Amino acid sequence: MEKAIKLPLGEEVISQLEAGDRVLLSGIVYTLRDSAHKQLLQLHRENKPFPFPTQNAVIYYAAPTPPKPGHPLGSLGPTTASRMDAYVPMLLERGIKGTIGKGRRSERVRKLLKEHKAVYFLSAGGAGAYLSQFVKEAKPIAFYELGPEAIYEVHLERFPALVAIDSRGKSIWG
Amino acid sequence: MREGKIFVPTSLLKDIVYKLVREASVSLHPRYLEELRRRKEEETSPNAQWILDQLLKNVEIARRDNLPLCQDTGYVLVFISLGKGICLPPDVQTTIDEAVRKVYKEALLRASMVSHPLQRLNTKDNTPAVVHIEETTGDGLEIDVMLKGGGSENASALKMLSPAEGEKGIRRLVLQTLRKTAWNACPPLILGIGIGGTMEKSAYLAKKALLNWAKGKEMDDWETSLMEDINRLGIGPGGVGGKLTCLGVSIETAPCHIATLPVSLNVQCYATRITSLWLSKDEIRRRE
Repeated sequence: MEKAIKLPLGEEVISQLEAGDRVLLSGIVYTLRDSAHKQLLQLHRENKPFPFPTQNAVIYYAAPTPPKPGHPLGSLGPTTASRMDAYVPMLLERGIKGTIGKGRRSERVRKLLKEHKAVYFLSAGGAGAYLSQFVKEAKPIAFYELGPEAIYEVHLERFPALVAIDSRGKSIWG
Repeated sequence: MREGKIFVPTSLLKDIVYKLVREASVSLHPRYLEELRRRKEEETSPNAQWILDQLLKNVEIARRDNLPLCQDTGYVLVFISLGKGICLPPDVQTTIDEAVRKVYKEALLRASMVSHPLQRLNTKDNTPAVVHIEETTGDGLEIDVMLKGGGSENASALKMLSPAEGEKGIRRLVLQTLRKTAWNACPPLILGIGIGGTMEKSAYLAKKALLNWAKGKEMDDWETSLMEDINRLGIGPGGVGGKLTCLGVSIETAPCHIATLPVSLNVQCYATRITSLWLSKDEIRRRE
């Protein structure tokens, strides 16, 4: 059975999520990967606002292929989350409560998620065409010069994911 | 023009690369798909089945909607095998890059290349391609295109072992590496292993081993036992835990120095996108 989850992630919803739960995510997420993280870190150090609302927000580690006419995006599956591990403290300090990606995360990230009551969702790596079916709308909102690595605001509808690390620090990997 | 020589026209090379990239971007390699379908029942973990189910649906949707199988449409590798008397036009790299530029724009594929590994500015057209040219004793012209994603490439490794470490050392390297990296590399994987040659040649052999697997090379006992050991790591599809971590192992070897045992491991993710074309001398002649 899958739990339907509305984004952004409220405190109550987060506390109900357990490692191993399969969920269907609906609402806004922001795409973010290597280069855009670097630019956000610059803003973070200067105490400047991020180009999107961060409170209870969910980040999708991903970068799409270009859309066909009339479509929001092309393919959009997750990229490797552990490459972004070093930036997790920054995201959590800004109030972000969830990330979606593929693969495992460091022990440090697991502890940080527990400390900040946040979660890590895993989605099916490689299934970019399938997962794009759950994208209703999308538009780039910042760092346009990065091309596919720009930050996109993406409206998901019943996007399938797995709670891989929950807010109590429990993970599917034991 | 020397007798017996056939020259591949620039336009033909460009057309072939364009078509092979376009086809590869939306289709899972048939051998991978066949193995995935054949072996999916071995997987008993519900989370792993949930991943496998999505990976199979993904193949259908990519085909139906002509959408890239994976959003990481990779870097482009082109392997050219020249049979006896087949000659390439000048500016092979430029010609192939022109084809890549055109197809990435027209087929709406993602530009994933940066011009410098540290400055990291996107080239915006996915150039340059990586081109390997080999002379063979066969006939005609063979071109293979591989679109290779970054995640699985990051799970790869190269190590100069001591000759005394032998087969045991290679098995240890395989398991130590994949225990750390396979979670992130979109398993079920194919593992290409290059053994021997020089440092850089072993890496090339590992990639050729992947290509040879795609072309139907059967696994021998050693390859099969390595695959079984990898599957005992418990990493599973999508890294969620399970039995199907690896669908195939392919080894290529080459002579090496008395003091060395170079070993390269190249990981291929689920999104195995490899297309090939073979043209006879006559077919090339008609396009000259």
